[in-house]
Amino acid sequence: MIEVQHLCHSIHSGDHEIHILNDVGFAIADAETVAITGSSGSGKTTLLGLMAGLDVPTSGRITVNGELISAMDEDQRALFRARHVGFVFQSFHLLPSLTALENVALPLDLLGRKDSHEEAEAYLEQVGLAHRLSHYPSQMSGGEQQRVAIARAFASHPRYLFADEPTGNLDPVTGNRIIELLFDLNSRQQTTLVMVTHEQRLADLCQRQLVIADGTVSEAR
Amino acid sequence: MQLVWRLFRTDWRSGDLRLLFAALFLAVTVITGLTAFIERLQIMLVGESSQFLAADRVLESPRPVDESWLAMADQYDLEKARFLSFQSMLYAGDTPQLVSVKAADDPYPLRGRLNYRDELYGQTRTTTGGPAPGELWAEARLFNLLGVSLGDSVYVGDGEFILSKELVSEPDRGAGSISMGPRVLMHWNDIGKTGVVQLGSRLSYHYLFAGLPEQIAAFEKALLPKLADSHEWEDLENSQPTVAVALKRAKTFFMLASSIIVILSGIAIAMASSRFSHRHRRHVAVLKTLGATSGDIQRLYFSMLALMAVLAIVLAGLAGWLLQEQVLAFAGRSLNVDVPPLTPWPFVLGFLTAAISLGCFSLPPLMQLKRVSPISIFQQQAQSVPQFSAPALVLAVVGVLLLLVVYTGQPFIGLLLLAGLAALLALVTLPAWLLLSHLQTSRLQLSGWLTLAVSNLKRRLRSNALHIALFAISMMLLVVLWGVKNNLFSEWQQQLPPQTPNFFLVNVNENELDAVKNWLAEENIESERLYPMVRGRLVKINEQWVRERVSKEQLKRAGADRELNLSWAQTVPPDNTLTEGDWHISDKGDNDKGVSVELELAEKLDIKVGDNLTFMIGGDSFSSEVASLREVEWDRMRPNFYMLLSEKQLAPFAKTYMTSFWLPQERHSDVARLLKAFPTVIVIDVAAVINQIRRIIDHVSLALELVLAFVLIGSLLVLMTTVQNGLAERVQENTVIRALGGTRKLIVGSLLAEFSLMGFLSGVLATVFGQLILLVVQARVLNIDMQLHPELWWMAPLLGMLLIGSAGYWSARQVTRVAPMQLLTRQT
Repeated sequence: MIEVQHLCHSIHSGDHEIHILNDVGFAIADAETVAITGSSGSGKTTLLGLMAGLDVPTSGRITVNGELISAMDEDQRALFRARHVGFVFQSFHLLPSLTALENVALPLDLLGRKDSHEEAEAYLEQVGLAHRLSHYPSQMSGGEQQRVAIARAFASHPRYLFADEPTGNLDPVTGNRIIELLFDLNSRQQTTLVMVTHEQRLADLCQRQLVIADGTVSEAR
Repeated sequence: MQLVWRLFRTDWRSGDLRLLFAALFLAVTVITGLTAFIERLQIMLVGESSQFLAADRVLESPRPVDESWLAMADQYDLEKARFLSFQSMLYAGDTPQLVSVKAADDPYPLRGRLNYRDELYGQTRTTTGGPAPGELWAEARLFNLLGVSLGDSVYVGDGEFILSKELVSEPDRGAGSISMGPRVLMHWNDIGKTGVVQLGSRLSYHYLFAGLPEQIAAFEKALLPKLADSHEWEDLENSQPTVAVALKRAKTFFMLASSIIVILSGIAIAMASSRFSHRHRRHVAVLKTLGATSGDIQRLYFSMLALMAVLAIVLAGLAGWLLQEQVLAFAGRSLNVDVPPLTPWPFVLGFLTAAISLGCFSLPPLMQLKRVSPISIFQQQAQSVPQFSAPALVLAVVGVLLLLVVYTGQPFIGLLLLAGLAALLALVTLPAWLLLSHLQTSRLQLSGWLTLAVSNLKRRLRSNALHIALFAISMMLLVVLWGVKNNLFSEWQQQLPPQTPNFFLVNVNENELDAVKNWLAEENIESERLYPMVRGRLVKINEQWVRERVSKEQLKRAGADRELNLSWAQTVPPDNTLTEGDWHISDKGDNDKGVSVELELAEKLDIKVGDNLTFMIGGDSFSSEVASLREVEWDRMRPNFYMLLSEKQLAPFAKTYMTSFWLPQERHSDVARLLKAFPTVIVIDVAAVINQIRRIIDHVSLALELVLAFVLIGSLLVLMTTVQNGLAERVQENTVIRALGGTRKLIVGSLLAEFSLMGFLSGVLATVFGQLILLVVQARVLNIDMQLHPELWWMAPLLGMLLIGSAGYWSARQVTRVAPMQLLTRQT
């Protein structure tokens, strides 16, 4: 369960303070799939980052899995992410110096798992990349890179998956396949999925849709 | 640890870590190799140079010294030898001949070798020990003067000796000691049987010491306070100033050069680390989103750094060792001395260099990585030029200072170098900034790529100015060292140019003068002038007895306690420079009563222009007024005199003549014919001494060039890291330009022009500042004449353009060799 209460976030730009989120509150149940939509610059990614514990809000509370992550320091949040959170980014963010297998094994290595490579291999098989284990990101297409990123996101069995425009850098056909894969793995692992997207088609695939406009969040249906 | 190794391996492949490794490797290799090389070469050169003394130090005394002093030498583990020198009559039958006797014990000489021949004018052989008791080795002219042969028996005082060998030379017989009688060498144990050593005899005891530098230094420290005025302590400096000064200047050069290499490597390490950490920010953000804590990041990068450091230190230590071993083996063979053992100090220094460099230059930017926020993964940050934080800069400054202190062992010099460098950075950045900001393109009809280049230069004004300053400083350091090296080379060349006289001809009688001149002319030997020489004693200064005016010891130290060689000259001889007064001792006019006195002697005896000097020659005396003081370069191997008078003043006295000349090696045997033709003439062979000095200087020069090559590598490394640091940004921009339709020609042209222009500007700044520093170094550090180096004025700008231009071309290739699409979609 993710609970957001009275969340405010602002950033400083020169002499100005820009309010991005203003007294936002909502809850996301376990295993729910939720899309966050809104126009460019509305604060979708900021909200995602705050819920995932990548940053702390200016004020307000964020509770994830019963833990108040908005009150944690960076290292506590890092440990929290390692145990409970997976990410899929628009720009994939694979480490270019690691092979597909090593990239997927990375979160498992950080958890100190001995069988990281076997596990990673199994996930790469699930995303259809068993033949690309030792390839580097630069040797793969965008779709393949995103599939590696999905394998990496699920490899540590997270309870919460945060996806930021997962098809933003892909053509529609590849994008569709990626979404299929994402939702398939999500339902199999019963993960709570929070996805930022500006594509209505994608948002419609989720059980709920939150819309951000003028710093506030409203339920679309 | 697996992750560490994996990241290490892949970062190595991507080249990021390689540059940092190269900088560290170079620093440690150079510092280890150079320190070991200099340390050992110095011992070798000092060893070779010590041959001029036949020892490392010599104590000269008119009386036997306290035995406890010699026991003290044993305490310091020093080798000892001794000899007694005195003048005595040698008799072959009833014919007497004044000889200079040297009675030496078995260990003599401690350094160098004795040259002798088994038959007169036969083949020269070398040995490490002198004659056995009962034997006498004598110079060839004794055989000529007395008509004796090898194997004949002769008497010195009451002792009978067999002439067993012809003595060619001892290592410690330099050009300065022109003994009037032929030299004979006997065993120390035979002194007693000659019976010539009695109270009042004019004796000179020489105690020779040799050992490791630190033992010698400790002994010297303990002994020097005990010495009286009558003792003379000789080291290389006062026995062979040419070599001593060359070694000293070379040492200063080495220290300057190594400090410069330390600084250059430091800059390179700092730049490479900063680039490395900058390029890893995105990695860290990814790792943090995956749950890596600050501690994980710190451990990861610290382990990577440690892994690289261990590799670099081990490999660099090995490379440094190999490098100096090769060069030293070569030097050892040609100097014909043993290569001294290697001490651990160079390796300790190499390790300290690595530790300080990494701790102060690499760690701060890498440790900043742990503070990278994971949210930055969403930020599309431009790949800007890495910046140094204020604490990192402070730590870097402390690091450089520490390195300099460790290296020079002199905190003050370290501080001075650092302050100079900081001031320079500011001084050079300002004109670089001004030059860049005033580049005008609008009024010129420039082609597209040049306009782009200039606008690029102006747009990144701050970072470009700093880069130009860094290029300029590394080139400037090269310019300074190049200049210093050339200064030293040309000075050494001037001191001993080819065809430096290698033979002195003394004791030429007046009645033989024309015959000797003719002989030299017939043999096509070009000699210096034949200078007249009258032996006379300086007895009064301003009507005051010299012995009352100065102490006996002072007199001895000035060399004026015995007869001086007086001569005359119409004009100031070569190698002489008037420092005071006028050269008024020509025979014309009334000014034929003056005397020109050598400066050092004048200072020791407190003689001033206008003073009245009285000389005693035989039983006669005459006075002369000091007309001028002269500085004399004694090491040029030409006849020179303490006192130069007018011909008129010396006309009444008996005189002999002397000169010096150069003979090529293959004609050295002609000297034997000269001696046969003129048996009373004394020929002093200084060829061996000159060759030895040349050999030493050649090796120092070689070492200098080697060091310069290292500085060049250091400069290139700084250049590469600087270019690399600005590269990412340029690649990104130019990819966009390419995508928008910029041609390959436009991009290659603009980058080539941008970098060449930066190179040219750096070269100009390097030349201007380098030339200024060079003048100061010449005047203050090396104490040589200030001179400009016009060859540097075009060299540095050209070199800058070529080197940095090529770097520009190289980076242009990075942009143009892949499709723009590939670069635009490259995400991390």
